[in-house]
This record gives sequence, structure tokens and C-alpha cells, in this order.
Amino acid sequence: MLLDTTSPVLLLMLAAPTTSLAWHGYQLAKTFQRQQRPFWVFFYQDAVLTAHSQRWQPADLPNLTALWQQLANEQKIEFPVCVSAALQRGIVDADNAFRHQMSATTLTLANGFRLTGLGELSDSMHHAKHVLQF
Amino acid sequence: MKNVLIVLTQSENSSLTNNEMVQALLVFASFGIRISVLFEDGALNLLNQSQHSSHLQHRDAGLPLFKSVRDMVASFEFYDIDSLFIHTHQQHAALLKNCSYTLTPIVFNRDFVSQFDHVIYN
Repeated sequence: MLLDTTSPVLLLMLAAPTTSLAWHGYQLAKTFQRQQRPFWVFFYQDAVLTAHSQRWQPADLPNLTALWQQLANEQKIEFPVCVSAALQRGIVDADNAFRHQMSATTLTLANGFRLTGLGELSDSMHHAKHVLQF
Repeated sequence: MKNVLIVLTQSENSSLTNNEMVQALLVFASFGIRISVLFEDGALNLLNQSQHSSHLQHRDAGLPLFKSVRDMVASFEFYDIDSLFIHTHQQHAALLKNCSYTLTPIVFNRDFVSQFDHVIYN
């Protein structure tokens, strides 16, 4: 099936940022941006670790989190991240730190990302012409 | 209405991601997406109703390591998820010996996949 270039594509990110698959997902998002094709992204399962602000990367290797942040900045959006998957992996924003009585000094959600529920993923699935899973 | 196939491949207690995918498909079904599920390989274990829901437990706390995926599968009927598929070549698997779900054996080919808008593999 050929990819419809005018309808939004949902990039469903499931793979951990330590995998090559996660890089393929980012590269495709970047390509869609260059070609001005509409696309959505949703981070779920181990891919939510991409949104961890304390993920260290050696200086001589590209930082996937920083690249997604740059893309978010260029697109003027925040990428949605599943809140329950994120909280279970130590990724916390201020609202959820308060809600779950966690220390507000350990906020670990990186800029350029926001925590949201699976309802938003369902909505994207409804409206996306294609879903590509990474 | 979107028609989505979820392919499950992992057995009960394999990892949190297995639990998360089944949680997600229940949410999809709640939001009006028509969900079909193909069970393959280790996921056939989720259809074995003779086993107890949780097996791996924390030794001291006595708590299950994961919420039971098998219990979530048992709740599919309440979400109107009734299209349950298995591969034809796995329909006589021992894990299905105590299964009372209505399963449809299929051949995973272009004709089968083309009936769905999206396919998600876990």
C-alpha cells in the first residue's frame, strides 16, 4: 500500500531509546518534517524513556532525547507520552508528582514532551490514515 | 469506525509491555475502535483458562509482579472484543487444550491483513 502523503501518519513509538528501531522512528519523523507531511507521534511502552530528562549519553554519540526536543521546538509542539507508562519508569512532571505525592525535586520529564492518557492515542488512531510502529 | 488488529506474541508475566498493550487495546475498544486480536506463539498461553491468573509473585510481599494479562483477556467480552484469531498451524497447540474462547483459525496473508485499517504488533 502506498503512503498517502496528505493524510496524517501516526508514528507509534514503542521501542526503548537504546534500540536502533527508536532511531528509525525519529529519522522518519524528521523526514516527514522536511517534506512537510502531517504526522503525529505517541510514545508508549519502553519508548517513554525517550522523554526522560536524566538520560545520559556519551558526548561523542547523538542524543535521541535532545533530537526529539529539537524537533518539538521546530514544530512548536510537545510530543505526547503515556502517563502511566512514564510514571512506572520514573518519568514525572509537576502535576503527577503532586497527585502521587512524589518529591517535586525529582521531576524528570524532558522539555518538549507532555504526559497524557491513552485516550489521546485512541483519538490519533481514529484520525490517522496510517499507523507506523517503531 | 476504525478496524484495528492487535497481534499478541508474549505470554503471561513476560514483561510490562505485554500488560501495557492489552491495557491499550481495552482503551481503544472503549473509545469506539473495533478491535480484533491475533494470539500467536507465547500469547497462546493467555488463552489457557486452566492456569491461575498470577504466578510470579514477590517472595515476601506475596504480590504478583504484574497485573494479570490473562484476566484482562477474560474481560474482552465486556468490551465487545469477540474477534479472536489464532494461526491455523497453531490451532492444535497444547496451550489451547483448556481454552473455551471462540477462536477463528486464520492464515496470516494479504487478504487477512487487508480487512484492517491498522495492525499493531506486540
